[in-house]
Amino acid sequence: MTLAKTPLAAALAALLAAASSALAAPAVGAPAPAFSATDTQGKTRSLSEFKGKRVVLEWHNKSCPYVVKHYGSGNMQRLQKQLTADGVVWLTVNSSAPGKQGHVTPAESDAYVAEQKAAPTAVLLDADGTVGRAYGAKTTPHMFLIDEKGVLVYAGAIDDKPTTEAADVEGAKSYLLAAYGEIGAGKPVTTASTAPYGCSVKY
Amino acid sequence: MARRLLLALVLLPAVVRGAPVAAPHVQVELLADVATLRAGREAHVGVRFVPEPGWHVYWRNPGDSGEPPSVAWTVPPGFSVGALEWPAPARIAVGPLANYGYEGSVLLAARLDVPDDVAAPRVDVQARARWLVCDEEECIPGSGTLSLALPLGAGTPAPSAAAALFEAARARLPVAPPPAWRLGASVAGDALALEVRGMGAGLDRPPLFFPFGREVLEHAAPQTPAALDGGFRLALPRWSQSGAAPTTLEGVLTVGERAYAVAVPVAGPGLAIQPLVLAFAGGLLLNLMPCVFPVLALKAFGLVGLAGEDRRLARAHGLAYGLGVLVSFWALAGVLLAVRTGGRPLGWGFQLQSPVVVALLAGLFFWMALALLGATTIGGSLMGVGGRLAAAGGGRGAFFSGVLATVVATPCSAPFMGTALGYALVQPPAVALAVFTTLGVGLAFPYVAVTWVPGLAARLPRPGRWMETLKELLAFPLLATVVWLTWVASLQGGAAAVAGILTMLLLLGLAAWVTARWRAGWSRVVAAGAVAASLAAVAAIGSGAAPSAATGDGWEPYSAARMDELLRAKAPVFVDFTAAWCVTCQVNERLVLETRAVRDKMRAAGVIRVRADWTNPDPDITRALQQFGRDGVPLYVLYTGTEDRPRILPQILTSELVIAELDRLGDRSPT
Repeated sequence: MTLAKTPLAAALAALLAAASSALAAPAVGAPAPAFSATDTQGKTRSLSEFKGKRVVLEWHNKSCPYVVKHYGSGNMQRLQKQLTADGVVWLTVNSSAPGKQGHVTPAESDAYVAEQKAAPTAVLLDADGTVGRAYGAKTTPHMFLIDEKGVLVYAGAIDDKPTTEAADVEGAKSYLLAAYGEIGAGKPVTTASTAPYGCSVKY
Repeated sequence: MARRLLLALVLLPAVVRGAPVAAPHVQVELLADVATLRAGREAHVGVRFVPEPGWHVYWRNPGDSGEPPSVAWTVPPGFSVGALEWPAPARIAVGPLANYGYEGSVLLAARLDVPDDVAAPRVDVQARARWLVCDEEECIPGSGTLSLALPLGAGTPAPSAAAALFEAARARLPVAPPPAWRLGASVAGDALALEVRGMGAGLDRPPLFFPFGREVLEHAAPQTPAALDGGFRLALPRWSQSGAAPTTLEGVLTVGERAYAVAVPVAGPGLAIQPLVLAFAGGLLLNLMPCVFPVLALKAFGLVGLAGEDRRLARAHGLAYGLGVLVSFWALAGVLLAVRTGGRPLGWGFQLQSPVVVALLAGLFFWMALALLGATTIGGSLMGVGGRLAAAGGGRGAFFSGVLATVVATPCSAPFMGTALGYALVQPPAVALAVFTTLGVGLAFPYVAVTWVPGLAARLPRPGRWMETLKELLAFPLLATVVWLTWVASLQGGAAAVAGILTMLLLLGLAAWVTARWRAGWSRVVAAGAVAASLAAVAAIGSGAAPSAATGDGWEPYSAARMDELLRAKAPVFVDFTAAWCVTCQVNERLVLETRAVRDKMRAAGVIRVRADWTNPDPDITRALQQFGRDGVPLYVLYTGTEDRPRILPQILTSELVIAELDRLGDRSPT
């Protein structure tokens, strides 16, 4: 890029950013935004249906290298199995718009889950991005934890290693598990929000 | 790709570079700015990324997504490599998100320190680079080990053919701001304001700020500049998921061609001033509301003509009263904060969402009216009906009149209060408490001021028979409040609630009559029985809330799903957040929204009218209010269908104002 072009590009980018409305993220500690979306079985799932249960939302795009890191290493499946066994509702949300990377049909999604031996409670297909926008989901993965009272208690990165290297899963601090452990012990969540890392959600 | 690489190597044989790595969508190479190294002289090495058109790599803070490149250096013992030097990035919009990065080529340079005693004729520099290259759609991680062999020589090191690239990269590095600049940063609600003064010349291009931290700003939200004398103020929307503002705003500010590295301390609670001023004004105005005014007016008249010993007593009473108000506000704040921590959506006026509370308030106002009319003496002293301080039961009495003032103030919401409370309820507890305290100070202020400033009391009119008349007259605003509360309860609990309230009023009247007619002890027992029975009548109302507030002609009831639908269809929508117990809401509806002029205008403009009725608890509506930073009604929102952000109308509406807003809708083109 030439020097003369850069400020122009910056100005243009700013203009574009102004034109597309920014995502407003819900506040951690406040009630989690209500939503309803269709899962891969064609069933409408909404947050209110899981009242009294803890809910994890995981933003997903199978072609994103950061998602590949956590599925390829088996980390995401491990978390899904561990938490769902504990009674948690785990909703994998796909907000890729039609024609964009990661957009899948229900059948493709089911095949992926089977192939990856993933264990979410349900996969929500949010092609119009309604759920994603309500939560201010920015990246894949982007993790949210909602307690049994419907309060958003964690929002952010899955762990503290913002890389695509599967080797980094080992030894990473899982923010999600830490938050889950703390609410289980009736303690306030120490790290309640972090900057998520990954690919941008393909709205 | 391979051919292009080859071509590059053939064309630039003299450049000191290692073999470039041709990764998908980006070419990566290791360069040095000198052709030969010299012992004891520093040089620069750097990794250059050349993404394909449409692809980008990231800055040190990638923004909403992505990952910055990283380089791990391997150099011979004695050598060392400094930190990567990051040229100013561009803001890259990706859908509703924003990234910071480089869409063209970028050279990330680092200083190479060469020790004084190097014997080897050649130095091998190795860089293990990792990066992420993305376009709108895809992201591809890459890594590679790049190496470079640099000969050592004597004399002044000759620049390499890549020196110009290093020069260009250096020109894009952020520099320290000119000494004449005065920088400041402060928190302004949901934004951070970065101010630059002393620039002299005006802005030729919009400034942009790139924070070093990821959790500082909403990266995609527009940064709005405003001109200041000799500079500008840039409003930077804060990262919405963090409660606390940063103490220092650190990052790169680009102004025109130049990039400046700035680290500005963020001014503390200067932000809280405006809500505090509003809270104080709101508290002050509460004194004039029909529910509070009678109590306060009488207490003030009790002070008329006091002197000497009585004056000192009056001051003590003033303080006790003020304390009563403050303690009550702290109790309210405590309840609200506790419930908020529990995560239940709640807002100001929540107490009135229960018909039992509404009924109890009606009973309280009725009793106060009876006391003013002289039908009973019990409780009258709290309002200063006795007219003499001695009768007011000492400091404790004054304290409880403060409590009473707060209790009777709860159904009223004065102008400015909504904004202040809405702000308070989303702030950390300490700030919220400060706002509630200020509100209480505002409510207590007039009476305390009158007790402390002799000049003020002297300005009150002379006592006389007129005071008796005024006292009785003031019973009627209270009775009007009873009528209104009964109406509110009728919407919440139907006919049963009305019957319950009227029964309670009957029994309260009986209790007042018995105690006034017979002064013997047994009369008090009977009165207590009547009051207990009246409470039972109220309890019978139960909390079973009935569907409420008739949705008037042409209004659609609010639901989150319906709103989504309307907004997606880009329809112009006017939302009236209201409740039966909100006086301001009722006034606005009767005098503005339901007038023929406004109704016709809305119809002509094709505006869909939605009424969000918060008379009974509704979590959807509470959440919607919170999204607008409010914790109570009224709130008027106009979605234009063409603008990104809805317009928020003031809490006190006029027909002219609403029509003017609707006129501006007319500008929209049918694109």
